[in-house]
Amino acid sequence: MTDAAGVVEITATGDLTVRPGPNQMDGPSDEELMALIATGDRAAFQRLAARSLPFALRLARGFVRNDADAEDLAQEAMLRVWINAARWRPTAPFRAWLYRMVVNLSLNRLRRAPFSALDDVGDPADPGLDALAGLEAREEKHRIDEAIAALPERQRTAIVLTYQEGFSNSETAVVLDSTVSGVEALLARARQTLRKALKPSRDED
Amino acid sequence: MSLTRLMMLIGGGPDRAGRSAEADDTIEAWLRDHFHATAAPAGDAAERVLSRLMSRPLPPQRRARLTGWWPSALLTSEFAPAWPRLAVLAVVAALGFALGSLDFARMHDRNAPTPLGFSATEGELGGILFDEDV
Repeated sequence: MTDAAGVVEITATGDLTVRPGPNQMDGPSDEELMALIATGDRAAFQRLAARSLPFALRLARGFVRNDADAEDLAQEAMLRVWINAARWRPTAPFRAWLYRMVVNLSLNRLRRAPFSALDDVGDPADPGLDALAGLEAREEKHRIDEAIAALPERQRTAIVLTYQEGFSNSETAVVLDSTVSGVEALLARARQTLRKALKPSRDED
Repeated sequence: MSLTRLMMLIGGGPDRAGRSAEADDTIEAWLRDHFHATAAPAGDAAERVLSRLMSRPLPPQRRARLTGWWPSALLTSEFAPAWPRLAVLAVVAALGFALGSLDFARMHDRNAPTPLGFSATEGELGGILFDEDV
């Protein structure tokens, strides 16, 4: 998420890649676009939305786990960017502010409608697995999603930002309005909670 | 690593401490794999949301906080007469007149106590302002 070094991603094959950060793309930076949006510039808003929506969608989907809700949340977040552009101050990167908004909207949505089954429509079919192995894989994913969804909100947020978005602890701290040590404690408690949730029962031993 | 193997690590055993550390490292790697395996590409969805956003008028923007408390009637640059603006200007004018009238009344009452607690006659004032001719 940093401006200078870009954003490190881990691909599905486990390779590390670096994609340009928001301020490395051609054209004005996010902060420059926000200054234009504050004056009512629709073109600047469209440009910033086109750049930010993929990140907002991916983050929202990490919480709500279905495409329709994720799209609604990302749209609502961008509308709030437009409405509050004149009040935004660049004390932190724009992306941190956007992420915080998406996180808050996602958590509010989950409070109204608790975790539902993972949407399987987007899962690609793996021709290498037989039917039983595919079923087991889907069940495992569902069990993991249930365990993550059962985490307390701040622990779940820290998990999503760290393991899905690839944020560092300092970047996660900015979004959560916390400290690095606070984020480390959240992640440690989240891992401990997941261990307890996934611990096999006596019947399974 | 499968969930079953991870659960065996978490379950503990004779070497509980060793299994705990290994389980922590494994959970981290396993969480990363899980999120990246289930992440769906957002390309089409982003275009859909963007088209929905731009296909309709955007809502009104909130003003910056420094001017947020001003009545909106005073912030517009349109000077065409309109009763809300006239009403606001009339109230402001009345307040200004009331404040100015209070000071004006005190200035004309020479015998009224000044804020400093004494009154001055014209002669005394002349002595303060001008030195006597030597």
